[in-house]
Amino acid sequence: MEHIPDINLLKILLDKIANLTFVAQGGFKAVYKGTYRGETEAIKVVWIPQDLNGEDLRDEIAGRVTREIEALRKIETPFIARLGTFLPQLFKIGEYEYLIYSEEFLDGKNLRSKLQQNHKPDITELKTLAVSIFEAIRILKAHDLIHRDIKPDNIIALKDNTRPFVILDLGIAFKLHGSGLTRNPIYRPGTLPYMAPEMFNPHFRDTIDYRSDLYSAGVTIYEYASGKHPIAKRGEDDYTTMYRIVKVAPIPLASHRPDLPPEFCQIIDQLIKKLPALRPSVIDTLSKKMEELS
Amino acid sequence: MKLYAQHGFGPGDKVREGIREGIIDGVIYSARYEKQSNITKDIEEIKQYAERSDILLDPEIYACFHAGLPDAQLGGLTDWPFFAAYRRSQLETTEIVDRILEDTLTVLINLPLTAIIAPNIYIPRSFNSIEAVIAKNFIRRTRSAFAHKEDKRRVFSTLAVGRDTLLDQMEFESFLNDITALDNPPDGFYLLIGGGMTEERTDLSQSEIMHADVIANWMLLNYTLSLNGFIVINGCSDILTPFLGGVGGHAGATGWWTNLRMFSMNRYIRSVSGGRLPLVRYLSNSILNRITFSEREAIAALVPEINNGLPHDKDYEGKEPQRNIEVLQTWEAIADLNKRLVTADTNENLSRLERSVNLAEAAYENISMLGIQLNVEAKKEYVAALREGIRTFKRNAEI
Repeated sequence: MEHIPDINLLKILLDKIANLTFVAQGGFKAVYKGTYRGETEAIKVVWIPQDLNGEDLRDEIAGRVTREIEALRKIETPFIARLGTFLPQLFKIGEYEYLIYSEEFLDGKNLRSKLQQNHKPDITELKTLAVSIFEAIRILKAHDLIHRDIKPDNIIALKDNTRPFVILDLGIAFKLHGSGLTRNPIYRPGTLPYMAPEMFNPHFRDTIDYRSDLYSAGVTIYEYASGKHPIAKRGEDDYTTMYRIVKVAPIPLASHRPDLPPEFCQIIDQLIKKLPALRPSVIDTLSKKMEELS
Repeated sequence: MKLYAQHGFGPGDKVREGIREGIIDGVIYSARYEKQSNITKDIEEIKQYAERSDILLDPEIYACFHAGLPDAQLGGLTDWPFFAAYRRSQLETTEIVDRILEDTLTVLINLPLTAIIAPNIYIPRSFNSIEAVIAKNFIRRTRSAFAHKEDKRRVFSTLAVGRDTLLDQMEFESFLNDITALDNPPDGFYLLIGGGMTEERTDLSQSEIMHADVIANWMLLNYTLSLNGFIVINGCSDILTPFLGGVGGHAGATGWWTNLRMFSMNRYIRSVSGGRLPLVRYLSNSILNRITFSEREAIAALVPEINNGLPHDKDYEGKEPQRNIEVLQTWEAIADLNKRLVTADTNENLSRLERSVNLAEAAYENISMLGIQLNVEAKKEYVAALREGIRTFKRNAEI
């Protein structure tokens, strides 16, 4: 994140939040852990840039935060992080503007860090992960939302049987049938290696639906299961990755993990098909098939 | 995979006999040829032979644009209370779509059918057309119209399209993306793929349907719809039935006339031709095609695999069989192909289908080496379309 605020200034500014410590940062956002009204929460500090270049960046970032908060407020599921008790407020720190709010603090590791530790999940863990993500997508769909950024970095593994995996960061979630919050027609929200092929269609805002999330879920589960991304190769440029997403069929998951049930591998392979109609779209059936796997 | 009788003109006792022999699993009645006053009695007769037969009725609303034409040939369709003439512009209004659904479903749910086929219009040329928008509206509104009836049976949306719609890959895939993610979908689809015939009385193998892209995308429709939880019934699928079942189709259908083996909107226009009835033919599974009685006589001794080795073969021994036998032999042959080529594993099915196409080509080579000239209907060019169709399907389905 650019212009990350000094933590001591933050502590002064957010004097009602105790034990503030830095956790992580992304493109426009830094995350801290803190205690507010007796609850440990994730304090999110979002830098709101000045719109100097006329690219609507300020509105874009503010729009993202607003959507995330609105979405989190409405959604009731253990598989998506919940909104915290510190309500969104604008702050000026030095010459920069920030929007600060809180989410529940999830004490666990994200899948990226587990991948970096060469963790090799078994079928039980993979089934649980799949069903958790499917359930989150189902709930988002019921609210006419798509997440658009499902990836290992945005999924936290918890030591809690009732919510073993939780999805974070609804910041670029997209309200289907709503107003187009991202106005720049060239800009594609999301993280390139996890973007569905239809996102590269010039009219993608008219055509995307929750099956784009199912695609990202498939890529995430494939990578978590095998330790290898099904599409992107390390060190290659974005254009090559884009070409691969749109044109190149991934190697079947079973070739990396022959020990997994073939039915599991087939479902994941089917979720990362290029044509949305080729991805199984009945989420209840997907979850049921996963649960029935031995 | 199930096989149904595609009902039409002059049914006689063919459907009952097919059910009694266990070579078909049910019937798709034609509203044009089945009277509302007779259908309950006819269904009861069928159920005497097989209580669990599937009984459907195609309301054929897609013929509604023909109703005002001077050369329209609608048979008894206009006697059904739900049928009326419409202009395309009228159906752009959702209220009228809802009224047609309501009127048709009200009649159909009061019949002893095992599942309900909901009405729709025909998309002749393109999925990027007003007809496609109207057809999607029918599909979207079918479930809610049916839900009001509180009927426990399955409801199928009709999807009747011209073969030309399947030739534009981008438009077709965009349509597929739309109908596979409906919010309140029907239980399944009743598919009809229409094509013209190269000439009167010609067969499916010589029709416009036998084009690699048409075959591939008819297969892709079955594959994607079944993958997304829909039950797919193919009308007028004849010899293509196992090709559709191999990729997820639930049922196919065929009947006793050419226009029941291949769907064409021409059936609703009065034909200028008349004259003789087509020759009685034999469906040989080894060449995936029909040959005449005399061709079979000439070939069988030298190329024995031309015979299916099934019970109705004996009807063709020594003399030309009665015309009503022809469809029973067809059903028996296709049911046998379904049994041999369709398993629960799509990849295995595709291998088996490819093998059966290769065998058909080899059988044609054997016949050709014997110097036997087959009738025009049995020419082998369509085998290449089948092979290319499977290959194209695999590419489009990312298999």
